[in-house]
Amino acid sequence: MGESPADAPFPPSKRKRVEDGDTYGARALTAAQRSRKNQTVGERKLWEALRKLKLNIRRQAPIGDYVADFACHSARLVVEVDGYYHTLPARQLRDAARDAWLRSKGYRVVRFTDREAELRTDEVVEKIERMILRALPPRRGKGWDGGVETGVQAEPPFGAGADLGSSGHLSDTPPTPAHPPSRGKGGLNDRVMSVLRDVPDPEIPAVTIVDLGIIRGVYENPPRVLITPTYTGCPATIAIQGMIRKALDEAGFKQVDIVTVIDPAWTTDWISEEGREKLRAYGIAPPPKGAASHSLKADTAECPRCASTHTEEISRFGSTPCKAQWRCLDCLEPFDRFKCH
Amino acid sequence: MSTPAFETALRLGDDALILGQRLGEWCGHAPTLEIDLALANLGLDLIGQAQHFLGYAGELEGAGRDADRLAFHRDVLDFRNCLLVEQPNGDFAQTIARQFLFSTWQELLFGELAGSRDESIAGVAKKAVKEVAYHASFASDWVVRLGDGTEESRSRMVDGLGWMWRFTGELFGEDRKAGDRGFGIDLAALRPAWDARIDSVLAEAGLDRPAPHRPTGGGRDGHHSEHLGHLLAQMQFLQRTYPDAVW
Repeated sequence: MGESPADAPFPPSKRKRVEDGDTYGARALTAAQRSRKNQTVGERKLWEALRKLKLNIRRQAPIGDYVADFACHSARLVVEVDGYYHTLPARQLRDAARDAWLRSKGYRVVRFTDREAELRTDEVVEKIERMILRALPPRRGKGWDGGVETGVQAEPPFGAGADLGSSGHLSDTPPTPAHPPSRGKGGLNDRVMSVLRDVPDPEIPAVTIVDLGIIRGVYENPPRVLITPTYTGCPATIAIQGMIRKALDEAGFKQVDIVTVIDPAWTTDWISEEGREKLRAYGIAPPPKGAASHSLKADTAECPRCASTHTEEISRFGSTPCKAQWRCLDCLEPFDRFKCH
Repeated sequence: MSTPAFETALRLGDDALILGQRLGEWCGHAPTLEIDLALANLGLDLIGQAQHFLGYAGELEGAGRDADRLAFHRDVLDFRNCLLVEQPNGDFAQTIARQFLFSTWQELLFGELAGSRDESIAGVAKKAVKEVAYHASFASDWVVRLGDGTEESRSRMVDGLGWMWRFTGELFGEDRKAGDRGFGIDLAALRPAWDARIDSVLAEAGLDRPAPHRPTGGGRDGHHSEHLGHLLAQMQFLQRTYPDAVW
């Protein structure tokens, strides 16, 4: 931690602890010390660039029992650089739990892949810088550029950068547009959508509620978000509403209402291409596009692990209302399949 | 107070609520894990329907009762579900018989209600009919497996259908005087399509259609079997003991 620049705008007492008084355990400390020595190329490049910003960013920063790859405590921002293993389902579940805990402590978590950090360092740094500057309370930004003064309301809330994908990853493809109206850049629709693109599905955290087509659209007068439940009795619906409310409130959209509509009924055809890919990567066979009309006799499914189509249905009902249980007859692994609906 | 629209929403909601509760009783007790999950899934769909229909009923009534209030603060006489759904689970074959007869009917009913002039009812029906198609198909598959299975499974399936059959007349309003204002559609008109589907599954299962039975009914008027009281005692226990307790 010796890297803190002498001209850091915080009193020294701020440097050794997390702001709301959370102390970090000895377990996290030693883990932090260990991983500082084992940085990946991406992490090292990113760190070299980030420390030059002089924004009081720490690397391998312990928060509670967790260790953030990078953290800016004053902006309540955590930056994670993920290796390939973060795409594994088990790992993603742990990451989701960790992110949820950090969020509950007021931190925003943004993830980049190791590859992005290594090959597109400048872009990543620029995004992080923008997020930090937007998030800092204007007063404490004394000496920083005036952009901070415009605050959260006038500009898109932080993280709303146009090409920030659902989890903060830089994405080459533009996010799928919401169903109804787009009102031009910076309109309510765009700003709200960029917040919603960060809300994961509580049951399948690999995809966002926007990927799933749960968001029907954003409307003005009165400002409201229309959402639709996937299944009539899906218990996640309540959780999803709560998560949207929280995300909107935190981003300064307290005035935006959430309205549930059930007609026209949700269909798996509304899952975006990006969402389908994420499901597959997560180990869930996505529903084929356009299959909703002949939903019941879902004949084939591709094994998300070995891509074999030599598979069979074990049960039409799975761990959540939206999934069926299948088994691959080649690699013999069971897998979830999103029901066509 | 009791308008036809309110009555319709209440009947639809109560059917779904009571059968959902019955299916929930299987949770942790089903013959295999897959069936356990399947029955719980069905129950969940039904409770979702109940939430929508009862919520709408409460709106129509305008007396400040929401879906939870209607579900947990009414007594037997005020429930409007059909007798079929309140029948005890019995063995697995009996549960399947009940589901088969009910879901086949509910799928046809929702198909019809999807075109209802009442947009709230139509909206739920349009959404739920896709789920109910899964229920009907699940139950039909099991009727065939049990009916066309061993001596034991076959005789249980026959018994299950034999018991449940007497409650099917009520689904089509056959137990009532003409001129019932309830669902806003001609229930009797659903019968031919229902008969055709039931017969084709029974044929595949190698089972005979149970002998005709004088329809047993009254559920739509609040005349229920003893079973409903026991079910409510369990379902409503918390709200009866700690009124208005919230999660």
